[in-house]
Amino acid sequence: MNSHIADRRVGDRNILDAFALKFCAVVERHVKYIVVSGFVAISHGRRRTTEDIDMIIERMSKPEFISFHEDLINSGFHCMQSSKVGDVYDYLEEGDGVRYTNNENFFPPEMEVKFVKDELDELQMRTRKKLDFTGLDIWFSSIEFNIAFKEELLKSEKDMEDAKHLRIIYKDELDNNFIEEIKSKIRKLRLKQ
Amino acid sequence: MRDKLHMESVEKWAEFVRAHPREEWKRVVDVFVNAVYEKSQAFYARLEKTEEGREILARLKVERLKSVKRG
Repeated sequence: MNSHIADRRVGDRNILDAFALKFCAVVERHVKYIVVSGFVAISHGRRRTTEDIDMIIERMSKPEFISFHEDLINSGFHCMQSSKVGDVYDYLEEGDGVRYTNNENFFPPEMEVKFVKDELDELQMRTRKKLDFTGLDIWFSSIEFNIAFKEELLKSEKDMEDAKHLRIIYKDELDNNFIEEIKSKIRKLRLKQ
Repeated sequence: MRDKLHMESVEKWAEFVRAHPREEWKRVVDVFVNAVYEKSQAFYARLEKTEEGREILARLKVERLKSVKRG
């Protein structure tokens, strides 16, 4: 195995877990965040992988973001879109995701970061959880949110399989009324034309 | 569209994960995730060694950025 690959593992963590934990530890110092979507399913044992982990963070002022971005850079992360922090902040403000890798060649894995954009994201943030099942010290959006987004909005085969996997793992604990409530908000806020 | 058998295998695996301690299913997931990344990293490292490969990597980066979801 090449040494630069081996170096990306941390202890007994796999490459994706190690990347996520290191990134989230930096984010935690600056802003409230949640990890959403595919990585939630993977960290619950779904047998697939992903190139990018999706993260939503609370909105920050430009000076706050500069401090956060510099901490990421000093911790070994690189932003794919631009090396100019002002440009990166503008992307976020415009509603785009910005991607960070842990290597200057921009090889995966990547963290795709976005600002909270509507009341649905705000509710995800307020109901965020650390999920014991994963063994990871990471804030996730709730399982109900992940299932609702995958079944109502994303709907690819991969997403439907992720939702099924999570439904089985949490079959005695899910709040199905909450899932339906979220789906209704998705239809209202994300699927309206 | 993947077949019904595939979804059945997803369900069967989820049942296994639910019924077994983390260290049992995590071992399987870790081997899978690490193998995928190690293969792709080795491939990218090979590409980096030639001018043509570096051009391919630059194009790949552009394509990956295009896939960043908006809004």
